Amino acid sequence: MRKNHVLVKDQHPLTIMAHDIKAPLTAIVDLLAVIEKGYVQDIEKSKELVARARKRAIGLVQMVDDILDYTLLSDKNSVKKEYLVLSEIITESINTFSPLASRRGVSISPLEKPGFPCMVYGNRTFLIRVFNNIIMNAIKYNREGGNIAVSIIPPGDEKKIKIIIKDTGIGIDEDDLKRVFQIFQRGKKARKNIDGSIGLGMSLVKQIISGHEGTIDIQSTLNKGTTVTLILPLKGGKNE
Amino acid sequence: MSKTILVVDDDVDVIESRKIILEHDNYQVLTATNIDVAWELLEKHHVDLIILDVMINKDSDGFNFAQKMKADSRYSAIPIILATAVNQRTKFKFDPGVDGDFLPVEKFMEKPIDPDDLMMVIRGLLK
Repeated sequence: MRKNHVLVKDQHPLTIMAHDIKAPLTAIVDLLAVIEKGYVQDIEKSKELVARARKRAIGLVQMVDDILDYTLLSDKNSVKKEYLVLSEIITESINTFSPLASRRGVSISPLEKPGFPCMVYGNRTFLIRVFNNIIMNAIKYNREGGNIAVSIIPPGDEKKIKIIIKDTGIGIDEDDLKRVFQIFQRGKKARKNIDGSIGLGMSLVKQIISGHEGTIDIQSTLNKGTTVTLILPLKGGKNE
Repeated sequence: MSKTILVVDDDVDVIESRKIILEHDNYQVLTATNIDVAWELLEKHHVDLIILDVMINKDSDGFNFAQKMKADSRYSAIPIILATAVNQRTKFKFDPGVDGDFLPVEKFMEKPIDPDDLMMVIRGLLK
């Protein structure tokens, strides 16, 4: 018997993407085949399997949207911007994910109202996506009894606003941390079925933040948690 | 006495599908979403057949598990069906027809696996 098998991974992004799409598709086919071929008689069980297939399909739709957003971001003229209150966007994202966090036994601390105007100039949909993505990850890779806290730090002289998202989750492996912003990369602990994430998530987040003249940094310690720091230019408003 | 089949796959929806099909045919089913749990089950229970995902946790752990099993006299006789979503189209350079000699599993089946086909293969291996 050969000691080294010949399984060689081609790292071409499209190959990885194809595999990431094929996995949930095969799961959907498997779930539906079981019903179609008559292996399930109970109607409630059939409904459960259809619901699971639907969930995986929705994940696939999200994957396609991620891919399309990724390509859209490469054309700056396509991205419409407006003046936005950052604390409202963050609060909306926290409210969206609080029920999920609660179901998983994770608490999200409410955002303290900043005592200063935190206006940015950006695309509402994309910025919500940034916080949705980061908070979703903070929930996914957290533990029962864990916490997520978002804080907005007042700008210094540079007129930049800092947003810190800190969780007490399982942390990110050092090797994974080096690749976290690379396209189609997911960490070792990412399970196939939690969502349909294709591994575009953090790469997309970085693209969005860069497109808003900002920066993103991630620090993490295994078994202790992760801190994501975003810096965005502060805008004074329409009359700036 | 009904036979016991161990299903090893990190996708819980795939595991659920397999479990339903196998229990429909009165097999006892054990499931594992990672290799560590698979080994524990193998050591604790009598297993008659294994359905194994080759790319479990994306690290080709399935390969290593199968090789270790076949090298262990306690388990080498247990037939293995290797379920693979990877083939030459996805540029993973493993071709069962060419490379199968070094990985003596009993059957390779490409995902998605038709339930009727799977049951036919299992019945054949457990005759």
